[in-house]
Amino acid sequence: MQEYFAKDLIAKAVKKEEEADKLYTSAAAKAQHAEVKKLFTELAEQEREHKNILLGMDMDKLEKSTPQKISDPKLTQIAEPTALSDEFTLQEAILFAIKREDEAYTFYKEFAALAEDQKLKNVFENLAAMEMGHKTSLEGMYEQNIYNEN
Amino acid sequence: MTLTPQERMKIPRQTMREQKPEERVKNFKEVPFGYDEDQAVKEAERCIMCKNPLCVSGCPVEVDIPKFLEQIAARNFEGAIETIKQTNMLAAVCGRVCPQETQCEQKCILGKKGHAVSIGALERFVADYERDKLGLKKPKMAPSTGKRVAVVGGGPAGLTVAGDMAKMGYEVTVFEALHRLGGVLMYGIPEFRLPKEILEIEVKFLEEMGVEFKVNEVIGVKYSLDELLEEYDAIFLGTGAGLPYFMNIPGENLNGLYSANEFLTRSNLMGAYEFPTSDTPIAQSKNVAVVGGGNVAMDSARTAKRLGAENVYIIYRRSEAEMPARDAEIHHAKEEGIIFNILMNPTRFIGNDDGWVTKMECIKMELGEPDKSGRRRPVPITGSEFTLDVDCAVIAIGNGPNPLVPHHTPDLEVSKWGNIVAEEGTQKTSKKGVFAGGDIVVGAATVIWAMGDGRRAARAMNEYLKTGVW
Repeated sequence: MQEYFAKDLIAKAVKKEEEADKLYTSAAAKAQHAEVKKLFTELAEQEREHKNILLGMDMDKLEKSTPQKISDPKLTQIAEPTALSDEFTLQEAILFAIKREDEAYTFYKEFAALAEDQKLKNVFENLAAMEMGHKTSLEGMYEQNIYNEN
Repeated sequence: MTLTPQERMKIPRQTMREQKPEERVKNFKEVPFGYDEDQAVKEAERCIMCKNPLCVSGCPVEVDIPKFLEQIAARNFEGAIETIKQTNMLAAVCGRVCPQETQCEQKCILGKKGHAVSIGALERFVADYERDKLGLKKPKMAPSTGKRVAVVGGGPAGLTVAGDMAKMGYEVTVFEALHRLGGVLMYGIPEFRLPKEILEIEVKFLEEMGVEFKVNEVIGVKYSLDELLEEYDAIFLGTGAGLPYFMNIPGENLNGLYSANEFLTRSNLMGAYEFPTSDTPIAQSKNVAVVGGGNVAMDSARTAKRLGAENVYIIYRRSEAEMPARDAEIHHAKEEGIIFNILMNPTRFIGNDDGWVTKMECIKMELGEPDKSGRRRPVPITGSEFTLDVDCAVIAIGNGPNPLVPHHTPDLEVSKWGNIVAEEGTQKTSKKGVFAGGDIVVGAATVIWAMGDGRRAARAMNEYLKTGVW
């Protein structure tokens, strides 16, 4: 039963990454500006990489390992969410992507809190940590290129 | 008399006289007065003439610093400016606005145990000496090549290309979108840091060298690059990083909120500080918050103070040690009574029924774990929100590349951050005959860096126009 749950979860996570890949690929196709097109294409590639990481995960290891602690700098937490648009500016595009990673993080954290079984909790926590890693990486890019206070 | 290194090291660092803080907050005149001749000689004598001078490697255009310092020490001021001008056309500008403490002066060996030689102040001294006492000397001009070059953007990169290409015998036209030349030097940097007269003299000098200037010309809208290429043999794009970013937080659309770009442009370019003598007004404010910690933030805060604000706050989310602004600007801002609210970040702006900002909510920050650069990341302290009374806020978090030319030129490759992609060293873009440099390529950087790009582009452009090889 336990194994079924963990595998099911990974399948769900894989599906989420596939959806994100599809979303970014379609956004890249529709984007009106070359730089936004490029950013979305890169984000789609990243989602495919994330999917491969998930598919290569060792279930036993995931259940036993303690998730890496990544602190959330919350740089963009206060930024208002935006709906996807073909006329996105670069800043709107990256903020949109950061919000998506944050939502994925919250999704896994909520499930981790609900899980009573420690092994299952670990799986959720590891997935949440992975999403937080993606978010901080995007925030780093945002900080370096947009919010650089020069 | 030749001084020994020990004797040189005993000479105290010379400080420039400057306007007193209580006086200068009431005017827009330049703050430091500059060195007099004796001070300049004394300061130059502090250089211990290292066998392997590291200062040169700290300069993006590799000015022969030891040589010009030696010339100043020997009172050969004319020789000193000639040395600088071999690689730096805008010495009077760079002497004032370059972040020397992170470039040449950072490498100065004297700085390890005390104070580095004031290279920037000495550069300013000789440039001012030339302008005031000698007059700008026209360089040797090559015979006409019969070829025409268009420069898009009249900022530091564009002006450098224009000067270099004119010297090499090309017919140069500079297209500037605004009504005055200088780019960020004109619209971004206030009079009290860089008197506009200095820029105007430099531009006039280029005119005397044969450069044609066309203002109020928005390339990408009025003419496409392809249309320009029908008239000109090559193009340089130096359109800068003039696209201001906002934080995308609630209340940012309220009246009384400005991008630093707009705030400074109103004051610097449009002369709003002289309203009603000038046509453009700027709101009179009592409590002004400036978000950011760079030179743009300092310029905005000090401008707001001079415009009559009682309280001006710098809101910066990291600690003071991490502020990107030049040390001199932070020092001057503090002297002028700017209040530094560090480790704080705005969360929203609150307005009245008329749509004007009245308050700003901030959250306190603490330094967390180091990020990839090794700097400790600021993280918000949950529940620490508080409000500040403000009737004006200026957002100075950063600027992006001007999108106009890339958005109207599909065959011009851009990076995912909107910068034009140009080959390092030649500044060639993906479009034949088109070169680019300065902030539009590297993002908001320094004046001297932009000039370095301009110089490299001019060299490569000359090669291309001579050989036809792209």
